[in-house]
Amino acid sequence: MPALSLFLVIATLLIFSPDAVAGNYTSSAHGRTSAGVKRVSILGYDQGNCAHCHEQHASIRSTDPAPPGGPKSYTLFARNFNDSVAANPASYVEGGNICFYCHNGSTSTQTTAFDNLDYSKTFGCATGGVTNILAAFNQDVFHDLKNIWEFSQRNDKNPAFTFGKQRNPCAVCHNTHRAKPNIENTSNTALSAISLPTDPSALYGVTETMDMYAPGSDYASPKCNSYREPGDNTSTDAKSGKKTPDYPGLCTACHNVDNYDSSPTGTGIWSTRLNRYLKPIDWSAEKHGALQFDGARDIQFPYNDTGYASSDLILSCLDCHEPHGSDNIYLLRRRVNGRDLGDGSAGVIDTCDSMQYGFLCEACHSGANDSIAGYSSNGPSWDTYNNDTFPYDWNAYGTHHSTADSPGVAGWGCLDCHSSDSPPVGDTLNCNLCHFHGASVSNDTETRVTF
Amino acid sequence: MNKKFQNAIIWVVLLGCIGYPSAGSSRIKPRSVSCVKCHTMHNSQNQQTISGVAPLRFLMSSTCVGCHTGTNDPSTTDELDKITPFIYSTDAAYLINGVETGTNTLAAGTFRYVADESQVQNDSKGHNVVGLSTCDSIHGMTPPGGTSMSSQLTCSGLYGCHGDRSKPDPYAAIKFSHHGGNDDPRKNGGTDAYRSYRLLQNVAGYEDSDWEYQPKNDSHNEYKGYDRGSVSLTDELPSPPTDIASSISYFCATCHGNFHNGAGSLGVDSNDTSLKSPWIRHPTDIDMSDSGEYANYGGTKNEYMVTVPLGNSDVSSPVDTVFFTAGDAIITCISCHRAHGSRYASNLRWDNKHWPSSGAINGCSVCHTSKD
Repeated sequence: MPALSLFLVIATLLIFSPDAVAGNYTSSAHGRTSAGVKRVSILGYDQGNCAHCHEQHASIRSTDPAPPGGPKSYTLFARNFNDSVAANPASYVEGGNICFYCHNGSTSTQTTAFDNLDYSKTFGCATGGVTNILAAFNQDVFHDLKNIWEFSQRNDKNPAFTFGKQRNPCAVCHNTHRAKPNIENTSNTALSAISLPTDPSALYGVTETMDMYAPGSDYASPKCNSYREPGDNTSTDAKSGKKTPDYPGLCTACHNVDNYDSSPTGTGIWSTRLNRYLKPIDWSAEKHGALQFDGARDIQFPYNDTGYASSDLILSCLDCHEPHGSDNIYLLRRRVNGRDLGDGSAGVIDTCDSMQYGFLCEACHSGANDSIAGYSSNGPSWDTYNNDTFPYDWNAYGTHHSTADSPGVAGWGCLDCHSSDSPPVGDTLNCNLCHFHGASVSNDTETRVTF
Repeated sequence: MNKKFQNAIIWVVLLGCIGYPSAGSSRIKPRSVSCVKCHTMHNSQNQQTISGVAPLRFLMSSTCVGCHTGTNDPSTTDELDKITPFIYSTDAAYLINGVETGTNTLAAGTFRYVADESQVQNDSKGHNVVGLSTCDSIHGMTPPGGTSMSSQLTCSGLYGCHGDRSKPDPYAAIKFSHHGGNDDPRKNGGTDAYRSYRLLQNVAGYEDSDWEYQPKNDSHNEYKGYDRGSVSLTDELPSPPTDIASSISYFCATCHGNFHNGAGSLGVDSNDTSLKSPWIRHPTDIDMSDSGEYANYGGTKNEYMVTVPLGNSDVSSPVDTVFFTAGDAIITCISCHRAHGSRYASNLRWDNKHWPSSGAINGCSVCHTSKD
């Protein structure tokens, strides 16, 4: 009976608590009475109340509450997005984007400061890192908000996009009135914070999860610490991707084969920092995506796990990339598949044209002689044999020389990859020569997809 | 009209006021109610003044507030109470949104709360009208969104809302309005107050027979709206009497201009050529149209919501659903605010400040249905 009474009490509390009957907004991160929006300068209004972001008459009691600035679009308390702010590292400020007034850590205009951690830490078991969104965007590499905004405004080119002018580029991925606090339970996709730009009124990733991404393929969630992402989850559902939103589905709403430089429809995504249109990404035609792998693989756990129905495993975009910003090139995560990238201290991947890029690759790939121990401040282990002397011990060179169909043994000659130096001392090859989105290489006899 | 003729009319009317009125009209029909209910010949009875103060103009036995103070009770048999909408009493019952069973306030709400000056925050719970409250402690005599007036707000006249607003004397401004004899609930917003909605000169509208005592979706006022969606920002808003100037929101804007029809960027953001989103202040006199999240106003049946009433370009009769015709779902000032007052800050119809923890209705989401 005590147990029954306790159940009834709890059930009653749940039934009649505001959250239990909450609507889309009141159950969102911004609308919750417990932790929703609450601007410092707005007194007397409930947490989560509309007034914390919207001033219906550009004032309250004839006063423009802080931050000042007069009336703004959508009756917001500050400018939604200032497209005149130059996109340079560390250039984002509150005045450029209303979201940054609150999502900026200790100087937040939110009554109680709060943290927003990067993906590597929130879902991938990393330590350290930025603790707010403004800081995330002010890292060396960032998802350029102006470029996103410009792209989202091109309704003529993107009829499925419904973003009016002066919208906030954050809204391309986040519905501010629906996004939920996924940080509170990283394994609960119902707490999704994302929406598709083609369907911004709905949350995305609640039921659209990685286990459903590509029929015939399986998703293997990466290692976190001892267990799997998200958040070192031990469940079978986490291993299979039921706990991970279908991020490729989100990202390819923009980063797809239609939106590239020479697209016939001219819908390319311009990158200010790269000074070019982005290149097309066809996740269905890449081996890290839904394309069936060929030949042999030297891969690490969990991608060598035979417990999956399919031997063709796929990745999610956010297995390697941060969504907001990173100190690594290409928004690469700080921690991938349970490994902190770099040299373990202040190392970052700031160029792909060096061995640094191998930090990323070796988080999942390894040759016969690779080992975790070889992953050190010396760089990826396939670099440790650079100074070998003739006659070379091919097997000692790891993936690219020992695997059955690797270039070193499958009909590819030395000069297909190396220079004419003999021996090719110091002629270490950088990963990005052959491996990047959309890459393939050819010799006289074959062409191979190499990503 | 010369003075002799004017006085003659007064006496004719006074002598002819016999009989019972029909509830709901803002006008006292000739011979419908005893003259002494409103007028006094000498402001004296048994050595006591009738008005409680010095004699009032037009032989009135009481002020506007004096006559309109009381409790609304549909079952009353009092001949005057039956035709008097009470706008103030110290115990007026505005329960939650002013529409529920048990509520006894009317469409414009109640001055009860703004008149209670025991708490300074009550200042914002209604219009600060002479005779009911002192000036707002923050606004003084400057209406929000408007320019300073040289006098505190009155019920009628130059500094008021009702009657002829060109006349400084509130009594002169409302003169004849109660005797206009226009019982048609459809008011066209003519140049005379008695032809206008609730004696608000120039305002059109349909008057509910019981002034929205516990209104229902099929029994309510129909507020005049005008869809300004196609109005160019460079156009001057026409003066009364015009269709656009007969809207209830236009009327509010005669004092609170910046909230409705201020020039240029006062209404919408710069570089716009017409009134459209993104708004920099909440729009009024704009048709929500049967689109987007607004299409769910009133649920699947799009029932007219007395909690958040909408305006209509056609006020020939009250509608029980909206989105049947273009222009029947127009946002107005009083979609959110009570003209006289409510128990909530900014005369809001609902308890906005304490949402969402209150668990009560959020008026915002009645229209912004995806943000519940």
